[in-house]
Amino acid sequence: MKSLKINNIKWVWLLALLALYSCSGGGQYWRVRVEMPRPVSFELERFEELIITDFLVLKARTDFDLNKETTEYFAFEFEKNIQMPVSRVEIMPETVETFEQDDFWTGLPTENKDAIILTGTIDYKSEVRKALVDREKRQFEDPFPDKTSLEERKFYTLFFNLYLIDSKTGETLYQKNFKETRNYQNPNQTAYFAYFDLIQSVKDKLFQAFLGESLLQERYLINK
Amino acid sequence: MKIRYIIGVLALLPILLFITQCASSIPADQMRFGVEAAKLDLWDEAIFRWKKVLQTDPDSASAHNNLAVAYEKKSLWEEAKQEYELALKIRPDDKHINANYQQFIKRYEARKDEIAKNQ
Repeated sequence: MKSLKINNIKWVWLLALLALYSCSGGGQYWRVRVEMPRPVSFELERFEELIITDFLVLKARTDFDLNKETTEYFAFEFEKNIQMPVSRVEIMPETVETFEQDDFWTGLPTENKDAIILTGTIDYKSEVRKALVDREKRQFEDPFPDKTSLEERKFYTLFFNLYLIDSKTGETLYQKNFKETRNYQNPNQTAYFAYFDLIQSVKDKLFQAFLGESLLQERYLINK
Repeated sequence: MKIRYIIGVLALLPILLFITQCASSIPADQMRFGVEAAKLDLWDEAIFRWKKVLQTDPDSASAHNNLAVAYEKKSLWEEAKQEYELALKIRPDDKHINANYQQFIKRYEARKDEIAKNQ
């Protein structure tokens, strides 16, 4: 009989605690992950058409056609990601000064009058750097001494100077320089393969600027 | 007999608590509803709820903070800044509001020109 009463009291306390918990809302703060939009640097989609011209290659390579790969890559990526027609016009800027010559760009054959021209310069360099690298001991009581060895790394750098030019006026509306570098431990890494790693980084940054892609951030929502 | 009386009083306690605390806290319900809506990515609904809270309690730092987060989500940068500042004015030492504001202001300052251009 006595144990029954003790059990009853336990149940009442439990009920009281449950009621308190339900009224308090369970918690005061919530940490939520929110996809925050980034502001757009340049509103590309206010134009009717995007024209991709050839890119001025500052130093031609023998192993692959830098201009061809770049134009094809951008044509494919822009067609996939933006809601406007994308076309190719095979016209090569002769020198760096060409980008400032309004007449050169207003004479392009376009289907839409209100088109934006994507062009620029590319330079792609590779080098091998050697350095003495210290290897840390794996364990504190490792009997072998620290090893210092001469190691090689292949470095690839892509310099990309992008212009967005108004086809009506020939005026440069947006200009941005990119410099992407990556190193590879693999001595057999090809320049062609590394190029696609680097151009992808350029593309990601470009699309952030044009499409304002979102960024995952944490925020607190407060309940009380 | 005495034990039965105590049990009876204790049994009534949760019911009393429920009536006095939950039933009288309509803004708290709106606040919580807004949080639940935000968690489901229903930010317009959340904004509506938190605005309702502010109608009855304009000094609710939590509602200002939550609204700021919602405005940030909707790219309403100036509105978000205003709401964060109001929340901090009411509750300057709240670490959660401060954490939100620091994150927000970093992004805001970095893109001030772009924000001005787009608004």
